[in-house]
Amino acid sequence: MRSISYFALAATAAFALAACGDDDPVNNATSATVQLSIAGNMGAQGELELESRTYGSTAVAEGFRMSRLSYYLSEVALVEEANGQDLRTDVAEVAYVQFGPDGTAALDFDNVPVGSYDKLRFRLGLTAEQDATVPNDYAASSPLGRDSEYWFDWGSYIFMKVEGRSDTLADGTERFDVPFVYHVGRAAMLGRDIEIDYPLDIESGGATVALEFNVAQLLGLGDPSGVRLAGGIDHANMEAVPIMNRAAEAFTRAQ
Amino acid sequence: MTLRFAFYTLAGVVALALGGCDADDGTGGTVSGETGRDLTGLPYAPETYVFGLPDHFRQMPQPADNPATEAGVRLGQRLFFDPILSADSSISCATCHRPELAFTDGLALSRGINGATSVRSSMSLVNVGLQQEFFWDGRSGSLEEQSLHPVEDPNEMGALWPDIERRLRRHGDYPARFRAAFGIDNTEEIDRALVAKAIAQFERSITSGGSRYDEVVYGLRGFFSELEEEGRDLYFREPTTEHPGCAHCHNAPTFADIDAGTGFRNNGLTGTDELDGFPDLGRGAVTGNPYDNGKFRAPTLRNVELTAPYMHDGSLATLDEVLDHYASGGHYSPTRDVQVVGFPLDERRRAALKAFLATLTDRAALERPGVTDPEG
Repeated sequence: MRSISYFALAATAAFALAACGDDDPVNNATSATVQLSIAGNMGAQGELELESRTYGSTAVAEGFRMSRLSYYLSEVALVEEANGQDLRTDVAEVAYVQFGPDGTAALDFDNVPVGSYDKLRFRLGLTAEQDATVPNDYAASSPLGRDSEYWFDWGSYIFMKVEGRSDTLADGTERFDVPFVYHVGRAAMLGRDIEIDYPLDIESGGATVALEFNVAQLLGLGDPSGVRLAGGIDHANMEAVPIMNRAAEAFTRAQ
Repeated sequence: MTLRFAFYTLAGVVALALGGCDADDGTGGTVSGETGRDLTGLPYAPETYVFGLPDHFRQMPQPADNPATEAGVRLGQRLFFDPILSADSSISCATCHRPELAFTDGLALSRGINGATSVRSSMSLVNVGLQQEFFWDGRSGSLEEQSLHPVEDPNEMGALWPDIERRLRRHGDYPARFRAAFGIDNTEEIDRALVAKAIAQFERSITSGGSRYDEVVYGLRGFFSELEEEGRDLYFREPTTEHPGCAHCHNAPTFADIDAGTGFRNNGLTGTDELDGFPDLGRGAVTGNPYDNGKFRAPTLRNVELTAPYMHDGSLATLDEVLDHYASGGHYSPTRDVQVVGFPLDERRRAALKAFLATLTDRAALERPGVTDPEG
């Protein structure tokens, strides 16, 4: 009888302590958290910093500053090449990327199957199905629940926001008082499918996918057909397609 | 001996471990019966509160530990209109948030006890429950947390929470209402956390979604006039140097920017070349980022014709002054929003924008008994 009590208590103690303690690391986890880290840069002009850093002169401006960079990614997936075939693992249906003052953005994707992958795929912008919904279909905390990323006049989400200010007057005041605003959306066809070679081993402890995003490429700096940094406010105008094309080329694997 | 020692040791470990699992409810609860009055004989039968927002709004978000009930909302309503929460029992929440003014107070800067003046204008509380950050600078992350502050703010109610808690515990009516709302067993359980929960529940019930705009656009009942339609076009068209594009910061259906972290803008009220040149740093004082200085919440424009004067400092007395301000592009400062660029405003456009904004008025929502003074 005493033995029974002893073992019963021992079992209860073990159960109680286990219940109170942190979960033990699961050595045989089949999924993990993958962080997508994106670092912005201005090409030869160095790292991206929002608001605080002035980038070089252009034909029309003494200099400019970026104040905002954000975009939607959708159909985020990892791809394993096997026997000449692509085996796709979906990671997230949609993600909202907003660069912080330090010019970087980071997102966590949970429950990604552990394993080895070869490529990263995603769409810059939203799918037609996603773009046909409205923010009120989602909780405010959802990427697609953000009211200010939806433009009712278009009946469409804003896929990408690029905003900044230029000092165009060369009047010595260093006033960055001429804005440029490019909000791209209005049609799902503006989305761009992107694939990046990215060998990646995801283990139970998780992994990081590190990308760089070249804002100089996005803006087309030095290219006469690039965005007008003293352009005022433009939304889904004829420049939208070239901007999205350049944006698609701006993603690279971090070195 | 060894086995007996092990037995008692394990028994102790079990007790300790299981005891350690108990959650601390954090309410500062008291030993029942030591002081206060027993409330267990009073009714507690919570009924879920149904929010009155139509389908074109998202569901009202609620914290898991404070779901709205009929009794909770009604308790919050009573507390909201009762001056018992101020130091000298002279003002209530409703003093600065009057239903007939869409829960603003008609003053540039609100007045607290003893003639104290608040530093900012009173914000409309219409649909406030849909927001994720509160106050003009977003410094509170929940309505429950937000509602604690005005009571102790010396420029507002100027009270001390322990005093308020004592008043409510000894009150002839409130203990039964707290029991009905939260199921407490003793008056000593009435504390600031429950007051905040009740007021938050009531504030979430202050909804407005039945304006003419809602009827025409979402209910497909009736039409806008030609002038209103022109105003709507100006409001929702993409902002350019020709169109104001108001919706960029005041988007439907809330007509506010409620997105977490990004709903704060510098609309050019203050002219300064310096990042620290703002008389009120606004969002920057919360985040510590100097490039957030001068930014404030883009508030709801629902019922905007009732909420004058305008802006966080109440510096614009009329809607005409507001339109003139935005048409001018505002004053330069390093953090002025890039979309505040000015636009042509003739008398036709002015009339059109004002006519459209008037379609956002929802007097029925502001006059219903559920959101007005329960004492009439």
